[in-house]
Amino acid sequence: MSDAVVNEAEKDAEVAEAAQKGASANEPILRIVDLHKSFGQTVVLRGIDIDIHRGEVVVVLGPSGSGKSTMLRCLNRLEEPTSGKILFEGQDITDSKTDVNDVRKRMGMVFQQFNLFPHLDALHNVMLAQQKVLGRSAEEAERVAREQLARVGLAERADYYPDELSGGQQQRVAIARALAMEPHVMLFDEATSALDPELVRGVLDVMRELAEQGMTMVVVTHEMGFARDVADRVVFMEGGYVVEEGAPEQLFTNPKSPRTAEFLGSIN
Amino acid sequence: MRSEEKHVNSPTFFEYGRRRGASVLLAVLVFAVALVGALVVPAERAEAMEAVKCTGRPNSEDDPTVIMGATESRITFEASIAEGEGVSSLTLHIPDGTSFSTNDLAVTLLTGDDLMTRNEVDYTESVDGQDLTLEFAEPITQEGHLNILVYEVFFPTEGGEMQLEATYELTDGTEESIEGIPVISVEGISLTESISQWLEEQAWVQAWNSNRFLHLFFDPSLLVTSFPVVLTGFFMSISIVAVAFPLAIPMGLLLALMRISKLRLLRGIATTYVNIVRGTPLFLQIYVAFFGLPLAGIQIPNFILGVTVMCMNSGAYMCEIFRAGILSINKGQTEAARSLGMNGAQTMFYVILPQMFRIVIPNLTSEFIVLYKDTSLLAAVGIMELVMYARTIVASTGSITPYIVAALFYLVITLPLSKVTRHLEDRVRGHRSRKHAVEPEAAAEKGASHE
Amino acid sequence: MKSMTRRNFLTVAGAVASTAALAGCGGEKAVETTDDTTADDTAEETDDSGLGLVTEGSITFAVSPDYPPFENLEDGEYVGLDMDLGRAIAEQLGLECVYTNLDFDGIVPAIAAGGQADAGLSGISITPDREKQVNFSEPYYIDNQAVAVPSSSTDVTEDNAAEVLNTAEMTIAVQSGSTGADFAAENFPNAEQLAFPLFTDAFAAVAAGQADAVCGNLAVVEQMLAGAYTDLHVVLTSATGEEYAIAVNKDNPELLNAINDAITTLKDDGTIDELISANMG
Repeated sequence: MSDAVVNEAEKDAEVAEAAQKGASANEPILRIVDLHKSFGQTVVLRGIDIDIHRGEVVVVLGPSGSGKSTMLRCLNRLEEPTSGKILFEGQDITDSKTDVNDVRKRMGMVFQQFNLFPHLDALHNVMLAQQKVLGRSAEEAERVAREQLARVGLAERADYYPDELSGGQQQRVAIARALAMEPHVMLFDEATSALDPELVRGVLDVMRELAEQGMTMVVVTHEMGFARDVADRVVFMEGGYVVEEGAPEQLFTNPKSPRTAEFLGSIN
Repeated sequence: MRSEEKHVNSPTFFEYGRRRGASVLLAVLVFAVALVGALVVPAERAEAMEAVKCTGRPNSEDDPTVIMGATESRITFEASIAEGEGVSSLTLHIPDGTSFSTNDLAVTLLTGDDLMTRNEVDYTESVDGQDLTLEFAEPITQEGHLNILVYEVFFPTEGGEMQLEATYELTDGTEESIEGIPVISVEGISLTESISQWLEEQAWVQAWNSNRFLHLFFDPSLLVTSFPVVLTGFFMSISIVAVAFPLAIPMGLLLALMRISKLRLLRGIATTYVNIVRGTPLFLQIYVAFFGLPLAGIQIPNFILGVTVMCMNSGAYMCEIFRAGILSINKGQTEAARSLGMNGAQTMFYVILPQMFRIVIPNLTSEFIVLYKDTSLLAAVGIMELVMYARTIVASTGSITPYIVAALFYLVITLPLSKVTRHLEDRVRGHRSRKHAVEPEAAAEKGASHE
Repeated sequence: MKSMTRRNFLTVAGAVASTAALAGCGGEKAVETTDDTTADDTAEETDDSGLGLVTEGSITFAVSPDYPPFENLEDGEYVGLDMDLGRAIAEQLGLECVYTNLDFDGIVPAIAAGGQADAGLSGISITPDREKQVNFSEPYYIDNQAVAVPSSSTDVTEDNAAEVLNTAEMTIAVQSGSTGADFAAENFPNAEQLAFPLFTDAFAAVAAGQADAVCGNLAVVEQMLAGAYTDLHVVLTSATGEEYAIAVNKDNPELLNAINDAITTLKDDGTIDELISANMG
């Protein structure tokens, strides 16, 4: 066990070092290799292969039921993959020996339903995991929490409880909560789908800013505008397969697959 | 007699004599004196009659052993009669300030080895002030105990140590007094008892009580006397729940966690326990615990046993409350916590349980009410709780009024709690009371925009 | 007066009503069928409509069947001296005998309140307190008090029982509302008293070690010791000479008289002595 920890720590250090040097810019931070997932008899993912590079913003599009959310949830093992590999910073997270909690603290996730803790105010929502998982002191956790709340524009809402905040504000607190853990990758699972249209922009603005700051992001969304403007790469999924992937301008203007074209057509 | 025997047999005395040769003479002397004493003293004391007992019948509703002044009681006087003495009359001097009557006066001579044979005594009684004299038609010569019951005795209001005096006359005309009659300790009449007696004399109370229904259910004087008595039981009931309920919470929580555990063994244990407890009457569980556990060699004091049974029973019900509470919490909460790297235990303790407690508070309050009412079942096994106190008074007065008082003591707790429960349910269903008003959303978004 | 009117009405509807009522009463009430022929024979002698009965045509006795050899349930049957006596009295009165089950300490109040039972027949001693609430019939049995302790207990012996029992270390189990409870309170005021609604539970408590001694009527203590509790023994008896009698509501002198007549008859013809020797064997 201690060996593993040491190795992992070394690996972390290596990765960090490599990232600084830019030496491993070609080495994907996250590799999805032949990922399958079934719920009982229902096959949802039929072999997904995606590489995500450091600092890249990948937007996953697709009709509902295409398996994009399931794919995202497999990345931090909220769903257990049926088969296939997921390599995160060189580590196979589908390996049963992998400490999944250790993986998760380096991977932030934002949910469609925000999932803020209703019994804690915004500040403590952001503080809780810092203290319990990273072992930060209350002072340290509060400092970071206030920093992150300011980052999402909610510094003055720190003592508000979730039900005193609008949906958009709640989602921004949820983003701050994930960011406070200083993740290496952020996963967004339809982060704006539950919001009233007029509240979507605030959240997208935060996400856009995050992308500009170089955060590696995997974004499942229906927001075509966001995909077009912010994504480095767009992945189109349908029926458990990756149908097509490419740069947004290429995929939006000149899709290779008729399925992609049809989907984009139906959206617009 | 007994004290002298003890003296003679004293081992230290013999050891002393054996070890110290020089003291033997002294010892023998002392021994002889003691022996003479043993023989002579009883002979000198050869009284024809000796006091055996003298008691008053307890008459307080507050405490079944207390004798109060100014409240009806009965004196039981018993004295031994030596064989062949021929007691021709007996005079009881009832303490001053104490009234009595010769109605129902019972005089019985108990004879036989075990004094279990009752003999009627033929006598004529006369009363002169505080003196009650019994002239026996034939002098009592038979060995036995003379038992006298004097009814309708009212000791002085202020109470005190009541010393009965008794003298008797032998056929030869000698008059002797009976020594060593135990005193009867009488307490001053309690405030409630005196209020009650005062009430009983009031015309309106008598009119009220002449209505059969009102007398049976709302006798004013009984309301007053039962109140402090039932209050004692109220404290007992409250202290049982006050201990059992908080202890049942961690127990129910542990069971609930076991029931949702991934380990089949833990799940099995908890499920079996909960099903057994919820599937059998509490009454039965109380009987098994009170009579079964001690027979199995587990000796636990009554109160603790009562608390334990109530706690173990309530724990099973709370388990289901907690389990339902935990399951009712959105799965997204667990996912959010786990996605932040929190492990299962951290998620449970910092995210799920705090929310669960909020949700289950109304159910827990209801459970408290149930538990409080269920303490009444402990009456069956001799725990002096609310109902048991009430029923002792009902048994001695024949009025239902003490039950009404007991009901009030239940309602005083359950009614406000029910109200609180309703309020809490509304709050759980709706929202927390807000510290901050929710701003109109669009405006809020605009205001918060950081661009 | 009100009840008189109702009674007159019921005389008319009597036969029908009583059949219906009997058919409808289940649960704790046990209907004891008396010999049909005797019931018919004696029916003419007694005008049962004048007795103000809870159920016309039946005499309902309140009983706490935890008191062998006076009343006890054996295989669901009411057995014991009182139960036999009740049946004999019912037969004398030409009535059906019904037993209704109540905790002992509730019987006298129930009779005083009326409506539940016509008479209390449950080893009830006549006491001045109870006489204030109900009327008592002629006594049919005389009993005394006894205290029993576990044979294993060496602290309490026949020699020292009177003193040792009256100490704070002692816990004495009694039946709630019984003369045994009064006796213990008067004679052992220093001891702690543990009162049980059922007398059998008082014995169970001593056997289980919840109490050090049990106090109650001698005949019952002896019966219990001869049966289920052979490891207890009697350390103290007192010839209190309590008279067992039947309790009747004060407003019903007619029933009291009828019961008294029946008891006198049963005493005179030796039935009561027979029942006593049959049950106390």
